[in-house]
Amino acid sequence: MNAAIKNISYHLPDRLEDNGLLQDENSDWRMADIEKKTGIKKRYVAAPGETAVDLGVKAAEKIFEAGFAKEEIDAIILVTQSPDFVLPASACIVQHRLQLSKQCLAFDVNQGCSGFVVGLSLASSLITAGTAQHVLLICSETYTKYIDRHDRTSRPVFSDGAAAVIVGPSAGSDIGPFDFGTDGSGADNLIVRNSGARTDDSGESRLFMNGSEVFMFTMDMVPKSVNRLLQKAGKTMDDVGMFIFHQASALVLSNIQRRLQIGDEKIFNNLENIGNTVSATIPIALKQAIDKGVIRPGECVMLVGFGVGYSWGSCLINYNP
Amino acid sequence: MQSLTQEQVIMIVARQFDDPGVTIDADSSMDNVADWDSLVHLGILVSLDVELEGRAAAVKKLAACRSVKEIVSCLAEHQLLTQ
Repeated sequence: MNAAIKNISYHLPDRLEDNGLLQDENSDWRMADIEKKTGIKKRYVAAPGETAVDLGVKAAEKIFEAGFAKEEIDAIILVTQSPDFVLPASACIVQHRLQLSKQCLAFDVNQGCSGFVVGLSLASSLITAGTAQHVLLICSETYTKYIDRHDRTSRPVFSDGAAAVIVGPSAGSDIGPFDFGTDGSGADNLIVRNSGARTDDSGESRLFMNGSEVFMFTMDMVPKSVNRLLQKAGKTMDDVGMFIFHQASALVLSNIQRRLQIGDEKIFNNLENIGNTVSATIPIALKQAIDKGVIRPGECVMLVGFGVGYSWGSCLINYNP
Repeated sequence: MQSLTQEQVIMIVARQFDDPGVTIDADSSMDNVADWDSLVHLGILVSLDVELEGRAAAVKKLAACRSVKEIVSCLAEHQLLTQ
């Protein structure tokens, strides 16, 4: 049995922060320059007490309210780096909150910007192996809770949000192949220290991002992953109808586009009014591209996630509603 | 372009600044040019990669360079500098 994406929905928190607010709180920031490089005008921020589980549950409820039967779900994968607790797995809480079957497999995946592609690979594998029939894949993040209000590198970029995807059986081969990679030498360049068992004397537990280092990683590694995937699939750039990259920032996306020589008509970006929601960016963009008719039925779409870890993953999907 | 000269590196750094009052020379660095911050540095990295037709992206050490001298030295190490 093969697998395909059956449904997608997303949920964004009520609270929006625009660049004017960031400027008011940080008078020394050159906001026009920041907006030009990030391409982001607004970002969503979860309320105090509103967590990745809360956002993920709301995203999934939209799918069930639209008619998908809860009873069909037999596996839950929650991709998040802002879990409600270190333990238990937040996916278990999602199972209870959504009143899904107790026969569900449920687990968290601790990956960030590559997380949707990683989760899609796992969901697809569960289905092709016969372990599950319908997987609820949720990508949900509240990175803003880790970010200092005066952190000029991270605050203008990151946003909170969640996407929920149902991956189910398919007669055709609609998901894959995949290309994955890891380079843990970059772990220190995007990190929340003192957030796990390893602690240091500083006690610092805010998100730290070395923008230049992460940027160089993306410029070098993402085009290589795209080309490896094309080679693996026996396809060329011309065979891909649409590219959806992790919505990191305008600068990152424009440079990937430049290096891969992708025309504007074959790339879908939506970060201007949503920001970088980490693992949720790709499914949110995919849903918006489908709703806008930018992706046509049967079209070959490449999804590429990359970032914290460093970790990256790319895959091809055929969108067949 | 296969490689850059030091003068071209200086020009690349200089054009990142909108302020005509900012002067860049071989001794310029993040320590003595007030506006040379991490945002400006991203622009420098992009421009280097564009000018070097994609060869700069693989030079990871460029991310940590804090001065014209360090950029020039880093490019020289990777045979991307014309003396």
